[in-house]
Amino acid sequence: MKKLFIYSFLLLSFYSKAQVSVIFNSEVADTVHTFASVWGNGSFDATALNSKFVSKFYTGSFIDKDTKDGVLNRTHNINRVGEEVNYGLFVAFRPDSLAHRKNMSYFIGLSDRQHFDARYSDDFYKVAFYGNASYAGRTAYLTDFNLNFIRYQQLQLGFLKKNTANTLQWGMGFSFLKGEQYASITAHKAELYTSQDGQYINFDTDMQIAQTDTAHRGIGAFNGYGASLDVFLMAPLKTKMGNSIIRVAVSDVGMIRFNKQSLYLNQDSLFHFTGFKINNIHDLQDSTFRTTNKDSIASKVAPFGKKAFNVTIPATLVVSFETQYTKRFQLTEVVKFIYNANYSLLFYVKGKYQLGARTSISATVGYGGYGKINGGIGFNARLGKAWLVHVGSDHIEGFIAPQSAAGMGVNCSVIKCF
Amino acid sequence: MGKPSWDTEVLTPLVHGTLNINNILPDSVLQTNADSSMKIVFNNNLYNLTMDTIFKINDTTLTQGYALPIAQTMATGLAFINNSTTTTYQLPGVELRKVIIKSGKVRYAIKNKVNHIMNFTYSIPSATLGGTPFSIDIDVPSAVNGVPGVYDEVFDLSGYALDLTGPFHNQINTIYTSLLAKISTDPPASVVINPQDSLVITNTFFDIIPYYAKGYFGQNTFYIGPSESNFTMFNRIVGGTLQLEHVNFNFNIENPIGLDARMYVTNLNSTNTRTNHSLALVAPSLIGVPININRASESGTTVYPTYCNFPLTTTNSNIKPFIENLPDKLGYSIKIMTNPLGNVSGSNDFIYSDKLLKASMNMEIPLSMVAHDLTLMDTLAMSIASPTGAQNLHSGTLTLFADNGFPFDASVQLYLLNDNNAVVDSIFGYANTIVQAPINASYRVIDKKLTKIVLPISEAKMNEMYTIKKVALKVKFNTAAQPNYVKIYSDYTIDVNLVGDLNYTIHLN
Repeated sequence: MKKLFIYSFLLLSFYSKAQVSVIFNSEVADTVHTFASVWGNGSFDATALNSKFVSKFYTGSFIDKDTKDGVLNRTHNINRVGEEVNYGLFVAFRPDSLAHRKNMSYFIGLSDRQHFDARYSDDFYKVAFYGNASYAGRTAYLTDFNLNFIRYQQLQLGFLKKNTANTLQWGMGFSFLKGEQYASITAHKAELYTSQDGQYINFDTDMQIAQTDTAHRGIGAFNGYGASLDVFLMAPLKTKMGNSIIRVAVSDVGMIRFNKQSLYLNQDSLFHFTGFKINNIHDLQDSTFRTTNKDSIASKVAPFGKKAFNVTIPATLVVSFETQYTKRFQLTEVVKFIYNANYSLLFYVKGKYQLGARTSISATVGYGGYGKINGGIGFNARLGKAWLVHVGSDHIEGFIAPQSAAGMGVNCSVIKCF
Repeated sequence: MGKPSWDTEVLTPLVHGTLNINNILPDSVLQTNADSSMKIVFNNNLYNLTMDTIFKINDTTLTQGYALPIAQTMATGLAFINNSTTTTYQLPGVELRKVIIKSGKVRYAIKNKVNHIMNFTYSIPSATLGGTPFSIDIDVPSAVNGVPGVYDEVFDLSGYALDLTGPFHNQINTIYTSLLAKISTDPPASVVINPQDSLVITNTFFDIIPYYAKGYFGQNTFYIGPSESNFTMFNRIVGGTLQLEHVNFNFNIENPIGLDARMYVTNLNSTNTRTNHSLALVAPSLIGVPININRASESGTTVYPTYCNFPLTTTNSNIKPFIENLPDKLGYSIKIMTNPLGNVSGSNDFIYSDKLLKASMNMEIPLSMVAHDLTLMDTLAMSIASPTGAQNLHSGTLTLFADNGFPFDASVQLYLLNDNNAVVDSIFGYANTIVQAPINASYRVIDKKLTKIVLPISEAKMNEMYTIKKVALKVKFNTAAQPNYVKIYSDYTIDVNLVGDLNYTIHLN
């Protein structure tokens, strides 16, 4: 029953932002019927950006030329970047029976979810971080640029059920989502042409921009609402290598409807910029610039309208195959994909080694996702009879090689058994 | 998340425009002739004859004391004073019959030594507003233990019409007031008034400024000047010479005053204070000649001015060199005699404070000229400083593309000015010239000429530019085909495009 519960939770929340490493902890005693946890994780990875660049960007430092060049050397035609920050708490119950139903467990969780991803061209990076001067007389192709940022709060209720006949386990989670903030830019076409002598700039673009109400921000902002569904399935099986488990989990299948105060722009235009118009050389500043403040320019170039819209949140599919090779050693092969999030298929292998009765360590190595080669480590410990602690990282490559990798992450959890 | 920053090199157009002569010449009223050539139409006011010159109403104070010769017991409610007073203004030679007050006040102060409240009704029957005479009712406190009761108040007379003909309409310059003082009806029923229980009443008219006056304004002679009037048409010219093919100049007098006058312009000088050169106008038909100015007429509140016009041409005056002196001051001396024929209007002279006799000069100067190093300078507000204080621009190159459609060269310099308008540096480190457009045999522009001026800006100069808020634009013009005159046509334009290749630091907010 204990393992069923824990494995099911593992599936339910496998890579559904933190719950995997928090709930999956086989150290929870059989006698524990209720336990609660606080957890959090954050990760960042990119194909071209490196952690040196990202650190300077996030800390508000000056990004020098060496740092930019380091990224430029890693930049390809298409580049990706992604970030997640999640934290929350949950309480799980495993009653002996409830409403005459046995082998059923339940949980309720509350979490704050934040996701960012982007896809951009090498020209985009060059124009943004070096300027357009080097493009004099030619076109910078910023096409297929896509950026998504979403933050929402999630109230999740779920259950899992064990089929005693064949040990198949499955479960579902239902979430109410409170939309806090969203921003999206999709440029199907974005071509920036700078004339040879700089006398004009053409920006040929076909893009959509959506953004939630800028007047209401922060975790208290209620700019939309929605729902999502998680489904999981776990099938134990025996192989010649040992006891194995196949898991399939789909999480965060849902959407949020942001309210009608949201800003939306759908623009297919060619902007021809020749500078601010001089009306009178004797009143240059006032006649030329008085009416060209930031807002008026923005309203002319990008006349946003207000309307409600639906956003499909990034949904995650995880398929894993876990084998217990020895009493102490366990190996898991995982394939993961995130939909609607500029994500590349991630494959990784995770090895876990039981150090003793109370502690275990794990290590992962993989390829894909928002970066390239990535690796992680984890440490689990049981403290006394009631506390379980996990500390780890899905991405340590950025800490080890800040010039040539971007992946950085941390996750942790504390479980209290009752 | 912090606010990261990084350097970029931005190549961008900054400003552009197509400027015609209207956008280039400052403070000018340009008009187009039938042949599409341009002319400057300029009006410069030389002198205004104000109401103050003709007469001025001074502040007037009248103090009166009232007392009984012997002690008397008087019933309350009984009139103690009931009299009328006239005040005549001393206006030498001027006989006003009616004035409408634009602004002005009357101060009414009373000292009451009677041991009882006194009730006053003060009125100015000759001052009416909408047909209602000015009148006030006031109670003045009684004296207490020998300390007189005091009343002191100021009343606004703005808008009141004053009949200055006295109570019987046979006087001039005279205000007529009346006063009724009664012992207040408050108990006791009677009051003993002793000889020392006097009333002292002070009545002051002050700051009286008429909006309208009517009467006979007298036969007076006023000498105005020598004085100077600013002449702003060329005030941005700081050097060089300008030769004009034609100058059409008119000396105009507009008289909206109901008053005959005779004017003598005894002297009119063109003064260029930059070159310290002054030139007197030689115009036998104007200078020193009596100019008879007829009175205006009025119908209701509508005034019909009269005009005198004296055209000055190259044949009847030296007006061309007078203007080509590029004056910034015009000096003048004028003598004006009012009512040279006496009171021919039957005391119906009139004047409005906002309708003044004006002497002015109207010019039409066709823009057909020879400019030689003609240098214009103007101070412009220009600040590149960010409100946040961030200095995002570091250095770079500014490139001016000027596609010139005017028949003149223009050399440009920009000076950086400090808060005291002192030059601290210049932008261009070398000579530059926007080249004139090509012209045909008729000196008409046939095409535009593109000039590219590259201006490197060092980091030091950019830092300097962040500190200034004003620049001085100095442009030196030389017309084509000198010494021939070239005309400026309305279709002449110059296309300018300023491009920046700038090292710019992006600060992400």
